[in-house]
Amino acid sequence: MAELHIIGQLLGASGFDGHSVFCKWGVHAGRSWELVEGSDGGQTQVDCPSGCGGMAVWSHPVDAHYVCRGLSGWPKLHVQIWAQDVHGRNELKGYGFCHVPTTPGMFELDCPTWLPEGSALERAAAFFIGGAPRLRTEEVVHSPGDRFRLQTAAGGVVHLRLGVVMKEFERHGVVTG
Amino acid sequence: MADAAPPSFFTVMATGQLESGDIPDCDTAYCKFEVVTGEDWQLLDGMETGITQVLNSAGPDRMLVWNFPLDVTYKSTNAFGWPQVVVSVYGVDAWGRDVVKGYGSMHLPTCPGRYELCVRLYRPRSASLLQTFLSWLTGMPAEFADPRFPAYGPGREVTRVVSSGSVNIQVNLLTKARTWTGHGDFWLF
Repeated sequence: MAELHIIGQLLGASGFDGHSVFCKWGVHAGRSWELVEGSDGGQTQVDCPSGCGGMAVWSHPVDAHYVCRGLSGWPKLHVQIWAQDVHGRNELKGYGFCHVPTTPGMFELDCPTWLPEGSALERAAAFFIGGAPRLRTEEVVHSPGDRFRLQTAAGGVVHLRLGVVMKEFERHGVVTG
Repeated sequence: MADAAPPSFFTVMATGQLESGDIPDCDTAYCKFEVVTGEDWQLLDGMETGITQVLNSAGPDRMLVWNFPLDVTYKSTNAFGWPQVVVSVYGVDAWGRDVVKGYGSMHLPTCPGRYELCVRLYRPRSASLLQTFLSWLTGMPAEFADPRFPAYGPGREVTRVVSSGSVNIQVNLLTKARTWTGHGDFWLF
């Protein structure tokens, strides 16, 4: 069995207009993948950016060790960005995902995010009551399912720095570049 | 493992320096660093922890230059728990007290080469209004009880921080991978 290590950090996010933001993240892998050590999901700290060009800093460590029996379902990382206000209320600010690179090395990744907009009535309700519309099934974020008729707006960008270490892929005839 | 591969280990050597810091409203500061690794990692050579000199920044660009050497060599059988550099920057106030200016962490690169890492800093916010007021009154902001906290993932959801400033670290990384039998290179970095 080949092994894959994903080692790196959720560095932070920019483009969320100076809100205090945090991120719920997770790694989704196919059925032939098994997590041996580390965690494949979590939640970062809440950062209130000051300076740094408005970039929120999470520096959240990611260290996951997978073994795989097949290549299908290569791990992908999905994120949800939430903003927290002074009263501790959380509001969704974006969904996004990115694939873990398939070559060993160090990678600086930018993951753009998007947010469901909802109908005019829902937007009016969100304006007065608060609480942005959310997805009922969150698999839509990382699976190539049906996104037709979903109206969305662009959100900010999540910055990642991932190192990929592969073991025994070449022994099984996988060309890793 | 079901696979009867020979036990393999690899060596990671990192040399470099804690080059400088860029922290707003701070001209006297020192930096503590610590390299945090997983259980399977064994230090072969070098210092895992260190404290730089107290630096008084001068000059037009107000950079805090530490130029402090970082030199560690590790041996491991498992890439899980890859070394992380955790830095904490302390300023010195008018009464000579150490005031925390920021914490930061970053994994060493997993690939050989020369890297300029920018570690962004953050510091925790007080948990309550009373503590905020007290820390303002005494001039001592909240600190993490465990200085290794930035290297750990769990338990972060209850942490609220303010981010400001950064530390620049230069790293040259070298890896050596070989199985015990020497038949092949099974680790790809």
